[in-house]
Amino acid sequence: MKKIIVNPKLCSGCNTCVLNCSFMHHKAFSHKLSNIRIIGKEERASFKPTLCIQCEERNCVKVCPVEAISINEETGAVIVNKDKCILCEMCIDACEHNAIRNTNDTNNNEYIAICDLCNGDPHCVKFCRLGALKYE
Amino acid sequence: MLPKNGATILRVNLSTKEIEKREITDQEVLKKTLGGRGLATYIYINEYDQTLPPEDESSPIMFATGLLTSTMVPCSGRTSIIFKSPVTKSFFKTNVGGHFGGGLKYAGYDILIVEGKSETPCYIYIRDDKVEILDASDLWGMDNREINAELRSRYNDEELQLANIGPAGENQVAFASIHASIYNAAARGGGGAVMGSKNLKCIAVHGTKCVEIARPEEFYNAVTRISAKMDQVPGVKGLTMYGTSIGIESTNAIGAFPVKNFQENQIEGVETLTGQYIVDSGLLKNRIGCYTCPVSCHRFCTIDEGKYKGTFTGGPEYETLSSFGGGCGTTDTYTVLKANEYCNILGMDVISAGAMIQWLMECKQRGVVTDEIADGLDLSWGNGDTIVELTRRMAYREGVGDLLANGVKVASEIIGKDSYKWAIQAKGLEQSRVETRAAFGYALAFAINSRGPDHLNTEPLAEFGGDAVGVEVIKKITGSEKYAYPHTTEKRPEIIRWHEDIYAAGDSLGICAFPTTAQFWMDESDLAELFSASTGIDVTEEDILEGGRRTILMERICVGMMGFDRNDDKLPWRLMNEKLKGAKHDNAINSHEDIEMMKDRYYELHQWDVTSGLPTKEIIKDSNLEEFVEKYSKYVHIKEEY
Repeated sequence: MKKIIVNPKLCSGCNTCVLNCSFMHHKAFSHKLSNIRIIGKEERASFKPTLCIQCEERNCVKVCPVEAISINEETGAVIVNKDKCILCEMCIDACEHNAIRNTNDTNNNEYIAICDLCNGDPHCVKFCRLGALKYE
Repeated sequence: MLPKNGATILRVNLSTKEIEKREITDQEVLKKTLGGRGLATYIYINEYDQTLPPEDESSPIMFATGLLTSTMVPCSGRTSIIFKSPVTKSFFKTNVGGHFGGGLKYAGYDILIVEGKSETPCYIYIRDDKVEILDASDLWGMDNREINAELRSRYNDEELQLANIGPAGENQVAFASIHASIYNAAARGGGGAVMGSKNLKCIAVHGTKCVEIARPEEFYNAVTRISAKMDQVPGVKGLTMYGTSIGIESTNAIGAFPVKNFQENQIEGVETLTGQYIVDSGLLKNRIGCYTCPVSCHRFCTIDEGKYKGTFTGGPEYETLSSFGGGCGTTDTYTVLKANEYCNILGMDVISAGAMIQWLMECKQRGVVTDEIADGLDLSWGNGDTIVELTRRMAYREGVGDLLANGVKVASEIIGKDSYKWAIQAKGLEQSRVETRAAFGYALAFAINSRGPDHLNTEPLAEFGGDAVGVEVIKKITGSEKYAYPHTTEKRPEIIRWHEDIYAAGDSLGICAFPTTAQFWMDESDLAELFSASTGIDVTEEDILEGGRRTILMERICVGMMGFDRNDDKLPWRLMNEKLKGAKHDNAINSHEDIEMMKDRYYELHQWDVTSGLPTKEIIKDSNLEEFVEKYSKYVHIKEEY
């Protein structure tokens, strides 16, 4: 099964992935609407795209007290059932990759944001010219 | 907030501490200005007094994000900064990448206007609707890295975006720059000195709002199509790989690389000044992308050995390698990088800073000054220690740095004798690193540029005929590919006018000049599609070019009201009076006759008054800017029979 592969050395911090993610999921642009963040140090030009990499541990699934988090069998993506989710943020604490966060959508509704792999066709990867994000 | 919902303007007055927000929803104004640079220029004429001196507290400085800034359009993250320049005393548009524009936009503002002057050092902090003017006494003196680190730590906010000045701006160095994301500079024209004169150390912004567009599906399709075009242009890969200095070896080979203050046009050992060397030698540690720029031509380098070990900086760009390298008579990469670091953290324009050193070295060469003037620093061409130390001294106005910090026009007036002849400036601005005697389109572009002789209002690279896409563009403008040839005056006015139009339109939309005027993967029809889909206001490609042209016209209206005319449209003395000596283009010159002839035609194309080189009332009316006629007529009087 394919996974997101991140190579921070190739990331220029341009945030094209961030805005593509935001747009594909919400038809609007904002860092808070994106399932990816670029974490880094500008003065050293060091940038790390930070998102779910479909890790082996799946701690987020394990700790969820209401079984709101599951794995899509076809893509391997982490899927959050918004109807079940109680916003307890235990998944955020459990994720060793800093890939989950609590945010607000365009209607200001709170939700847990995790990469859903765009149903197996991640747009962030599609628009990453430098190859910092790959899906393979 | 643009693009979908009209423009939001934030006005901050540092004298009265007044803060005002307002909306511009008039679709006609948005359509005719295209937002960004065009809209800011429109507001500047409409609401401010162009005749005030630049240092007058009522003279504003305006930060105009592009219409498309904060969207996924590639290369759309740029911000235009507009002010009356303390150097040229005229209208000045400068432009910067980095991530500041994105921050301002997400806070909900398209244009920030700063007026007035604070009595003590201050900074503006913006977090969405919260806007504060705060004390910056403890920030004064910090360099660009320090202030970024300090404010991000103070607010515990790694996403805080700054537009700030360094010590050079505080000291009102004539070529002090404004920096975004530390290493990106709105470098030219002394914008940093304007902020310094207002006691404004920085604008720090973090926005959390959403940017919306009118027709998402259409917009996405346009972006996908344009992105695919980008990937097909071979030059884009080269720009990513080697940056803006990719062409230095070929520029040197054709004898168009200005060396030793434009006295020569080639340098031995140019290899170490090339983008290829920066990569292959391991100096390059990463590429930096401006906001939503997947091309990422900006560099990041470190020096890991020798006396400059520990140096780390954004850059170097073509202009830096040319200005501190060939221009100063050296090919030592480390010298260039160290001078680049000083400019980046102390806040100075690399073109002008290098030009000052070149001018002083030529003063020594010609016996006008001795090393004494620089406290014994050896002013021989190519002395790396001197180049680096003079760069630092200019920022702090130490010793001879105080003389050089005036810019080359004023410095040459102070030193006198014949030093104006090698002061490579016009309108007070030091020329950027293009040998205009080997490129007549550039010569015209530099002469008529409202900023002065540089490439950042027009970038007519296509005239060299270096690649197929450029040749196609020349054919589109002139009807024949034979005009893709830089050593002729023929069709240069037509070529320059088209480039100015698309450049200005690109600035208004927030698009970098590379896609529109250098590599040609985004044209006027692409811009029209993006404007229409994002705003919901339908425009044609003609509207885009006319919008760009209207911006050029508005700038010219300002130039006229500020007291300038065609007599000021000239090139540096050397380029118009001394023939180029070198292996290629021997005896080439930007003659007075050639320049004047091209200017005549250029003004004619604009339907301006050829005698004065200024717009007539008729063309202002015909360009749908009737509202400016009355004000313009108060200051500019030209014959009506035109």
